[in-house]
Amino acid sequence: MVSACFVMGMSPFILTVCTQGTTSATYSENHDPIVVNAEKTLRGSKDTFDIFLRLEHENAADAAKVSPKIHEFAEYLRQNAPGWLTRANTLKNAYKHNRSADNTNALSGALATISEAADQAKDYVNQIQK
Amino acid sequence: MTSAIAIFIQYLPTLLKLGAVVPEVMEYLQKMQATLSQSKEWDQATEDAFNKEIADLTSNPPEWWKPETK
Repeated sequence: MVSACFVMGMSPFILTVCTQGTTSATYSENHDPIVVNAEKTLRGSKDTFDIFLRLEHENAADAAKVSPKIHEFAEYLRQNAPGWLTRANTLKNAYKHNRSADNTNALSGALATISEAADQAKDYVNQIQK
Repeated sequence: MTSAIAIFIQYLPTLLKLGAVVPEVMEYLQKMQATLSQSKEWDQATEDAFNKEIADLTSNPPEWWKPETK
């Protein structure tokens, strides 16, 4: 039943970030699309990790029946996601201070990591709910 | 982005009508709706709140965020 809730992915966020490249001077001070989309990815991914980990924690037996990989992935997220989110947000702020190509690429890479993990989390939520 | 919002809007009323959304997922959907509608950069208060939220995942995590082993 929850499956339909997860049809939307973070991918459009990161795709937009990646395609924005190193544009400069075309954004207003607080409307840079790279920053806005980075924040959307950060917020959405953190919330997706949260719902996945909560459902996995509260339905551990059912999740284990579906696949032991679900718990393995949940533990992987519990150990790594806080660091990923911190790093990506730090890189976002570094980009805000210096909108260089290097900073843009570093931010895109960090966002790709958490976006991919969020997509996997959504997939596992769907599997738990089946 | 526009299509993601459209999909969200398309599914939400149906899910609500069916009563098929558990409270946690309903809360998640509401957060996602707010996230999708963001059009400008976070203000300092939002930035600070997010940083605290992330820091709390390590220093004071909810049960479902605690790893089995450290």
